[in-house]
Amino acid sequence: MITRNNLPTSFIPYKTLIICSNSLIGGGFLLSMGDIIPLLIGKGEKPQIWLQALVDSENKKFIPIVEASISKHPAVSIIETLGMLTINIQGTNILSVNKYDENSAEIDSIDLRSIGFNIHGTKTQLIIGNSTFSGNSMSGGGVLIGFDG
Amino acid sequence: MNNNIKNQELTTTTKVKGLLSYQSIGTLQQNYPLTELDFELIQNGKSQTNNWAHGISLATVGYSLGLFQNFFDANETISTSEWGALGVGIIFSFLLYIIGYFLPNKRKKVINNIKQHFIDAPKQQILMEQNNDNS
Repeated sequence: MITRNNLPTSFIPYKTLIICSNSLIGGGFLLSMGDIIPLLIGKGEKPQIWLQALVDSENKKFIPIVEASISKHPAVSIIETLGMLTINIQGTNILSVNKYDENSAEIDSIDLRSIGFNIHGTKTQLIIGNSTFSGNSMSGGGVLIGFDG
Repeated sequence: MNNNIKNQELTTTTKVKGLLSYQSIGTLQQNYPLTELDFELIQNGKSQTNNWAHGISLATVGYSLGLFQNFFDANETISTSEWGALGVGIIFSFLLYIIGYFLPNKRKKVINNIKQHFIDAPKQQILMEQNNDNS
């Protein structure tokens, strides 16, 4: 289980991570559920992604479906093309990450609704639950969206 | 509240409502159509050899308990033929267990059928609804 106090040893955050037009500067995470971090995107030759699916929201049970950009679930496929990493579930795109350089990357599209989270977005806006985020920035390694559930 | 957050410098985590979609991924595989007869055979379908092995091993244990007091009593001795009977009981029950293990039986047949079913039945990944008692 990936939490803020139990991050993968190989995880190195990007200095700048743009998530559907919103910038996380100096590390930081898109989302936390209690202490759990369902999505991590770190530096590497290709973007290093860890993704956990929420399988039981009442008991906060997660299963890892991607670890260090390797699929851990038969329904999940990962496609890499020239710095762009795309994650699909049953052929439907749930995440596309574009690496710009050593220190920055951008989430071009995201749709985590099939793995338990009402989060989807495009290059210009991020929709989370009943809120829309666009053009915002956050510095200092915080968490953009929290859910205590 | 917080419906449209645009071009802001955020310093704290934003709490949002309606974050959960109550969907997730799961694996589906066809059930094995277990009948009452299959269940009965799994419980009681071991080979006759096994039943004999059980019988002889129980008799051997009973016999050895009879010899037990002689073993600690200085006035009583255990004769060679008594040791022999005990040894034969142990060897026979052991051999029958071994033979029973390798002989085909109805229980093994059902278990192998179940194993084969789960090897052959295709697995399918599905999107599934989670329990949504909170909604």
